[in-house]
Amino acid sequence: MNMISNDEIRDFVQPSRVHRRVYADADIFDLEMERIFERTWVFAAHESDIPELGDYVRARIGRREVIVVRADDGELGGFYNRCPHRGSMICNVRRGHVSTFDCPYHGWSFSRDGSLLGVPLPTGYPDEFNVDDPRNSLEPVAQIASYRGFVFINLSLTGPALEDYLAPVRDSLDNMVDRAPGGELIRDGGEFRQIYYGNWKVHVENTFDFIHGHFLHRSSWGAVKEWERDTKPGETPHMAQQMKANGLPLPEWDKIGLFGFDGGHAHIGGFYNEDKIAAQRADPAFAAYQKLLVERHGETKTAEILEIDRFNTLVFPNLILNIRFQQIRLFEPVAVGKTVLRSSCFRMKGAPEEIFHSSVRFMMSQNSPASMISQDDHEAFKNMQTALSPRDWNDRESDWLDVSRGYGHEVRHNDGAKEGVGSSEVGIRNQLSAWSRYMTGELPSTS
Amino acid sequence: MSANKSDVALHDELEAFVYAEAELLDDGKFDDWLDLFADDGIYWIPAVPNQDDPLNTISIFYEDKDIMAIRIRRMTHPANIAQSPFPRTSHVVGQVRVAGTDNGLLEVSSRVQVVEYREGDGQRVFAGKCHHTLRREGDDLKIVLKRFDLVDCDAPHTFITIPL
Repeated sequence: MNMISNDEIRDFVQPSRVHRRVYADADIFDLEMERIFERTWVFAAHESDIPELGDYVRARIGRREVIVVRADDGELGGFYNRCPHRGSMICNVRRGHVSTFDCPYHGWSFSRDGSLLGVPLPTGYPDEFNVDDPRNSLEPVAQIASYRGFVFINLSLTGPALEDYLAPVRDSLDNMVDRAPGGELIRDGGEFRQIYYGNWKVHVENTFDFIHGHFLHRSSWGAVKEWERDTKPGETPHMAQQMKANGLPLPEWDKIGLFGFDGGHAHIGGFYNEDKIAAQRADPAFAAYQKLLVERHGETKTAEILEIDRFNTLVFPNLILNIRFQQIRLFEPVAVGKTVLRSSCFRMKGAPEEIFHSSVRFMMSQNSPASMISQDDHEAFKNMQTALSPRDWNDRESDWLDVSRGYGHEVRHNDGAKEGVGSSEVGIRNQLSAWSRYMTGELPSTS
Repeated sequence: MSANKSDVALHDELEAFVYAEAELLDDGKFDDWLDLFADDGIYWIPAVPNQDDPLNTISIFYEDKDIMAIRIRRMTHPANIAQSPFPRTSHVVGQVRVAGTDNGLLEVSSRVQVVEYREGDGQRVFAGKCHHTLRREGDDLKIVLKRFDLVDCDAPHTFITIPL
């Protein structure tokens, strides 16, 4: 039972400030699971994770354990990972292949479409026990759908169809796929899972807060600049170039465009301009890749595809894409002050090996537990959580966090998009506004 | 067993080397630690069990000497909040074996446990199999590869700031 009214929630998110309870109150967290994660489309898997009939992966949607399976008709199946008999998880490894789903506890057996095939010693059950009763099947999720290989689950029947839900940022997903000369992405290279002791929203917001890099990552970009100054290297390694990029002079960040869309989605432009990480790289592998892309799409469309440079795209609530390096980051909320960040990357079908190698390097630089970039962020989130968490929810001035940078200077577009400069907090305000609308039941819209 | 005296001497020499290497990390003598690496040396902690490919598969660390030098600069940089306060470690190295002496390279395997403490984050343990590939350069032994396979390499981790 929650005691937080919609009026209170509405009051927590004001145009240019936000109350600390939004990040630190465990009751708010429970409501988020129910009203956001169990009522919107949440990324669950990629189709390339389950190419063969019977392949499955586990996913976590809000508080729920689910299984995504390639069912017998080749379609996607989504089930709660819970046996209808005694409630045990059916699958306890992260991915696998099955001909039937057999519960390890008492041996109830289910087909790959979730229906009960049989139970041991069936004569022991009363006459009214019916194997074909849907209540004895694996419970299907309300909705599962794929957009160009990206599989999302919606645990409720409310809200728009997946394509419409994604509409404002669909072009980012399109661009990510269109960059593959073979027209497909294949998730590969392994997955990093990082734990940080902060609220899930602060990292999502941080990906649209570019001004922090100059300060928080000073020891990261500073170390590279000092190393370059002292050693005069022939070339600076890829990883170091990523670190150094955060040291862009402050006014430069404002040359980057930032767009927030209805429903909380957003994207922000790229800032990797140097050498190995630039949009148009001068290496032979990139030239070969570009040639393959021209063979598929022609000169004009290839130029259009490669021109799009967005460092982060947010698919609300918790999926971040980097389209140029084929990366995704998924922020899985565990508790109000604990989040697991899962990152992975894609091999572009038909692209030279070296292009994938640079995606792997990008992911290591950015998202390894040993990353000399993200560890600054995770330390900052932990410090923030510690400072925000005391459960004396008084309404003091110091209970409010400021998100006013760029407020009043957004450009409003006809489609509802709000545009700001790179140092603006418009992306954060936009996410919080969508958050408030979901939390008070205004979204998802039922029309 | 037919270990002759020179096998024993080699074992003792390499064992002393991996002990000393671990000791430099625990003592925070990171520049001296880096000097143990050959110019083409690599420091590797895979992120996937039985990993054989650092280019197509992610690693927690896969660093050449340039990146290690940058990491050490960052570790001691005054603006580094992820290492303030600086973590302290204690390595225990055991089961040291000479695993090969082919092609002028000396292969040493060992088991390592590292306890790391950082104020505010408490204490945690890293454990696994370590593999050193060493080369003689003049009178010195140099590390061509230090690979540390953690038993929980693919588990969720909080951040790791220092080489282990």
